[in-house]
Parts: sequence; C-alpha cells; structure tokens
Amino acid sequence: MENVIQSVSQWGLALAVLGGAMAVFLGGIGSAIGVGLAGQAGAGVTAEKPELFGKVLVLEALPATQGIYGFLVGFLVLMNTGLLAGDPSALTLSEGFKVFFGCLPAGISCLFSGIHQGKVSAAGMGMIAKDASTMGKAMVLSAMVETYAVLGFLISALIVFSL
Amino acid sequence: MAVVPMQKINLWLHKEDKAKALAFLQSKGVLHLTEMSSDHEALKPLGSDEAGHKLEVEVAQLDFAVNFLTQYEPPKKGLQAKIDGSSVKAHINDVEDAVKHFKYKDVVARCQSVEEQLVNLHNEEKALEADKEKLLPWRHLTCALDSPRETKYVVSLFAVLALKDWEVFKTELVAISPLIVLECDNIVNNRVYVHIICDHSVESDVNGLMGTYKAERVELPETNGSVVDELDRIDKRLKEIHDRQAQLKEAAQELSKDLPKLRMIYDYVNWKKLQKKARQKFLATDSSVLISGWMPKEGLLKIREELTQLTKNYELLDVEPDEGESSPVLLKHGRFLKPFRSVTDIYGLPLYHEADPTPYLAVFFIVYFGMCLTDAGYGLIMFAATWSVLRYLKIPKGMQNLVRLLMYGGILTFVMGILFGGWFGMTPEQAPSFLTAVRGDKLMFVGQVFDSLGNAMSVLILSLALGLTQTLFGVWLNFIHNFRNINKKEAVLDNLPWALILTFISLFILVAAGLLPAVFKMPVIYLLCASALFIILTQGRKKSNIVAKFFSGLLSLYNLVGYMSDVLSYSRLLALGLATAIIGMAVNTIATLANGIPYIGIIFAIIVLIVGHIFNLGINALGSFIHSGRLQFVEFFGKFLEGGGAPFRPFARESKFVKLRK
Repeated sequence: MENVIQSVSQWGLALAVLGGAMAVFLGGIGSAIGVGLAGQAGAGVTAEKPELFGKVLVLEALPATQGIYGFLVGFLVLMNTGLLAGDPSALTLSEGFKVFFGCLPAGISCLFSGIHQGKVSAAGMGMIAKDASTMGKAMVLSAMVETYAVLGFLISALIVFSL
Repeated sequence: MAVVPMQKINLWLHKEDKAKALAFLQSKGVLHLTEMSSDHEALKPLGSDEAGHKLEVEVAQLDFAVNFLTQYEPPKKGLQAKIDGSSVKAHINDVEDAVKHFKYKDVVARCQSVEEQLVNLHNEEKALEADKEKLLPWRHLTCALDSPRETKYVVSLFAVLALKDWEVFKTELVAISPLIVLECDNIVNNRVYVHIICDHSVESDVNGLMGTYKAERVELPETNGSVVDELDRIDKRLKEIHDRQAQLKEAAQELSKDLPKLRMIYDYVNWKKLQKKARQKFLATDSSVLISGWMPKEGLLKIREELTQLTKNYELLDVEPDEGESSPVLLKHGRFLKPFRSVTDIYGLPLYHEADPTPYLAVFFIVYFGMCLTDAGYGLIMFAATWSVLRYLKIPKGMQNLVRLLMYGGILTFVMGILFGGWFGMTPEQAPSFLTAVRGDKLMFVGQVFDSLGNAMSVLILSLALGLTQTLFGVWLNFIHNFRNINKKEAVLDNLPWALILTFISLFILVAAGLLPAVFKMPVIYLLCASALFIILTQGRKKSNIVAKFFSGLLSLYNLVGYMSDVLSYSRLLALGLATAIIGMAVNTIATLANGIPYIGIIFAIIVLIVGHIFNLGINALGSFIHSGRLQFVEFFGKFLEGGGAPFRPFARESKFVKLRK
C-alpha cells in the first residue's frame, strides 16, 4: 500500500479504476431505484390483473438499462487499462484523470435518468392497467428519459476508447 | 397503401327491412355508425326495445355458462393448443347450425343448477367442518348429547381452560362443595376440556371460579347419541358431500365438451345484441329508419348492389359531413408493409387528411433496428426463431405482424452485423478463421466495413447522416403532401422554405466534407442565403405590420436549432450498437474466466455464454425496438404529422371466441 502511495506512477491507474467503479455504482443506484419504483407499481397492477404480468415485466425492465450502461463503462475501463487481462498498463496521472472524468457523464446521467425513468414506468403501469393496448405508448414515454443516459454513455465510452 | 378514402352516407330503410338490412350490414362490417340528432318533429331517435334487454340477459347467462365451464375444461396439450386457447374456428353456417340445433338454454340451466348445488354443498361442507373441529376435543364424552343440560337440582356445564391453570382449578373447584362432579377431562393442545355437573346452589361459585381462570363455556349441539356418534354422522355427511361434488364436477366436465358450441352461440347472441345496440344511434319516422355513417368509398357500389338484392325499399345517399366532423381513419397496406403497422399503431393513427406514415417509416425503422443490434449472430437467431414461429405455429393476426416485423429485424441485424463486424461480441482474433480476413495489416471480419469499437467516429457520422436524410425526407414529404392534397399556396410559403434550406445545408456539408466537388461551394452558399431570405420573408407574413413581419421571420430561423437537435438525437444508434457489442464482449470475457476453473469450468463457460447472449439479445432487441420507434415518432413524425385520427370501427361481428372462416 505504502508502495502504491509513494509511487505516483500507480495513481493514474487508481484514478481510472475509481472512475470505472463510480460509473458502475452510480448507474446501478439509478437503476435499482428506478426498477424498484416501477416494480412497486407493477406489483399493484399484477395483483389486480395477473394476465398483464408480461407487459408489467417489460415496463419494469426499461429503467434497468442505466445500470447496464454504467457496467459497460466500468468494463471498458477494466479492458482498456489491461486490468482484465491481468496486465495493467501504467497510466500517467493525467491519463488517469482523463478516464476518471470520462466516466462521470455515464455515471451521473444514469443515476438520475434511472430514477426518473422508473417514475415514468411506474406511471405507465397505471396506463396499461386501464387499457393494455397503450403498452407501446407507455414504453415510448419511458424511453424518452433513457435518451440522456444513452448520450452520457456514448460520451463516456468514446473517452474511454480514446485511451 | 394508405389512408382509405371514406364517404359519409345516409341510409333510409323501411322499418320492415330493418332487421334484415342490419344483419347484412353487420356481416359486411363496412359501416362506421355515427350518432345523430334531429330537430324534425317526425324524426325521433329509435331507442332500445324489449328484445334488446332480453338479449342482454341472454348474453350475460351465456357468459356465465362459458366462464363456469371453462374451469372444468380439460387442460390444453401442446403449444399450438395453448396459443389457440378458447378461440373457435368456424364457418358462419356452423355457428347458425349450432344456434338452431343445440339446446343451449338447457345447458345454461344445467350449468346454473350445477353451480348452485356446488355453492350450497361448499357452504354445508364448511359448516360441518367447523362443527367437527368444535366436537373433536369432546370425543371422550360418553353421555348422549341430547341428555338434559339442566334438571330440578343440577346443571351440567362444558368448559375449556388452559392446561397451566388446570390443577389449581380442579382443587379449588372440588373444594367449593361436595355437590360438584368433574365428569370428563381431555387435553388437546395445552387446553383442557371439562364437563362439570353441579348443584344449582353452587352454580354461581362455579361460574365465578371459571371467570377467575378464564375458562370458556362451550355450548355443544343437542343431538341424538354421543359425541362420537355425532362425529360419525358428520363424517358420513362429508363423504356424501365429497361424492356429490365429484359427481357434479364430472357433470360439469361432461358439459364442458360442448364449450366450443357454447362459445359460438355466445358470440352469435352477442352479435344480435350489438345489432340491437346499434339501433340506439338511428333515427326513425313512423314507417322508416335513418342510418348514418362512414363507409370506404371503394366498396360503396358493391354494397348498393347487394342491398338492392335484399330489398327494393331503401335509399342510400352520399352526404356531406357535418361541420367539424372528421372522417374515421382506416389504413390499408400490402403484404410487405403490414408488419410495420405494429410501429404506427404505437403512435396512433394520422388524421384523415394526413399522409399514412407507415410506408415512409418502414425502411428507416428496420435499418435503425439493425444498427442498434449490429450482430450477425443475433440476427440469425432472431430470424430463425421468428421464422419457425411463423412457419410451424398459427398465431393470432395481431401477433403475426409483430413477429414478422422482428423477422425483418433479424435479417437487417444480420446484414448490419456483417457490415459492422459483430459476431456474438467476438473480436476478430477470437473468431474462427473462416469468418475473418486480413485487410491491410489488420485482422477483420469478412464483409466488415465499419469498426465501431476501433473507429467510433465513422459510425457516429453515419448515424447523423442517416438522421439528416430522414429529416430531409420528412420535410419534403410534408411539403409534397400539403402541396398536392391540401393548399398549394400555404405549402409553398410555409413548408417549401424549410425543405430548401435543409437541402442546401446538407449540400453544403457534403461540399465541406469533400464529397462534392469544391466548385459547388459558392453556388451552394448563395442558395443557402437565398433560402434563408425566403424564410425571413415568408414566416412572418401573418403578422400585422412590416416590422413584426420582419422580426418574426428572422426569429423563425431559430427553428433550425430544433432540426439540429433532431439530427443529433440519432447518435443513439451508435450508442445502442456499442452497448450490444460491449455486453457481448463482457459475456465472452466472463465465459473465458469461467473456463479457467479446472475440470468443470467448461460447463460454467457454456452456461454463461448461453444465458449471457440470450440476455443481451433480449434486452437490446427491446431497446432497439423502442429507440428505433422513438426516432420515428418524435424526430420523424414531427416533421409532417399531427396524428390523433379516430379509428374506423365498423358495425361488425365482433367476436370474443369465433374466428370466422370465409
């Protein structure tokens, strides 16, 4: 440990790993809250109309993508820093910061869009409970929120790729 | 291949022909009825009649019988039977035969009787079981239950108390007086069941002691014989009930063999009910009926001919719609386009005078779908799965469209997968050698043109270029449709300037990127400025004075930002494509790690590969469908479509079960 703190050459790698970890857990938190919200509403719908379970499940799954985007950024960091192959490359401090900041767009946008997509999905549950044929519309409404997670993921992925 | 042209009609009939004509119109299913009101004294709403109420009762009874018997229907075997569920394929003659010859009223009555008996038996069973539970702890009681509970001198009490209080209670009770007898004690679940016989003089003392130790008094039924006799009687009756229930269930199962017929009859009677319901929209004089509605123009002549064969006493008039009334919308498509209706339907229908977006979105939608997945392996799996569903299973019509659309999606995903080098998320180094080729100094997949992992920029530019193309297509479509069908002047002044400026901007980008010769540069810039001027001159023309006109026109140039953000929105194509590729890669990496475990690693690796790739395909196919659809609804439809048309809902044989064979 002392060895690592003293040798500045390792800090770059540590920063990169911190960034990747943040992308994963921030996206994970967003999705966990979002899927949780949608799931609660969905359980209510399923209790009333068990035949809608398939549709409820799809709507509930929509806010789950943010967690996946965060995971993917984390995976890209592990892959591009060579950690996955067990042969970590020596990153300079500035490279480490670049990866760290590069992970933030995905992490933060996934955190918030996951939560809010969950809310829209939960509201969509009410739509399908009333009329199951509005499923498509409920999905599109929910997917609108995901756009910003997609954009955040895109930028993060491009930055990590450019390593 | 578009929005079907509609004609509003008024149909006058003689009252005598009403039933006949209604049945005919319902069988054709071509008339969308409209509500009417009349100020004329002789023309009154027809309202409902007695027969209509009777039909409603009959439908409710049949509905009950079908629902009741469905519980006793033998479970379906096989996938196809499960998909078919309760639907019945039949010719209209079969349905009418069933109504004529099958004594369905008897079946309904029998269902009602069986159900009533089952309910009664169930209630009795519950009551008996409660009695039995109450009596069981008393089974050691030998005296007859109908022996008197009170005589001139003594009273007999039954009580229950907790075991922990039993010893104290017993001693204290016996200590009260010698005139107390404890007859029986039985211990079940830490509770003691006692029979106390005592003299009247000490009854209040006994009651007081019972209160102290919280002993509950129990009233046993006063029946012949002992508790054991009573328990035997209950068991006997329970057995009888179970036998009877089994008999009744068997009877219900036997009756459920007639379910297909009953279902047909349900639908038939329901059609009759719908006919009666339709009449509430009609107007009538003493001897004639007026029906009003919308019909597709195409079939009008044929309907006229067939009506003539039915009766001479009718008049079918083409009429103008009321003010503010708009025609219901029906879309018609050929075989290839039909699946894309599943996309349009999510958004809803266009207005009657608008263009049907289905043919225009088809190519874009399916290409975007492929780009979001971009994996040739997944494409093949999707195609194989959907193709075999269509080939080997008969699925409902609505579902068929979606499955066929996913089949097209599978093909496009395969093509895009080849172009972008996606094969189950493998890198070229991991892939079998027949899939790869050395290009320059780099190993690539056969047929690969883009490298989204290595050179994401080129794919981003491709995505935005597709977005610009579709935006351009949308604004030109809007202009052409409005110019041809609605208002030439407005189309030229409102829509053309935007179509022109976006076209010139695109040309300018092409020149700047070096895709068009540089000599075009100056002409394109001049045209661009001219079209901007055109916008400034036209967009403010509805304002009152010249200054407001100018500024309003100038400000409208700001709308270009909206077009730009629309185009940027297409960058999601790259992001979703990347997501599929990277999840695939992650799955393969985890499988490789699992394979490192000695001996059993290979099994884990195979499980990870199968589950992981199916998960990836599932979640990304869903994402691709929604996001590809969203690009149509939000970015594309906004250019030329308002939407919100009322669907064409003809007066027809709406069935819950019957699928009519032609």
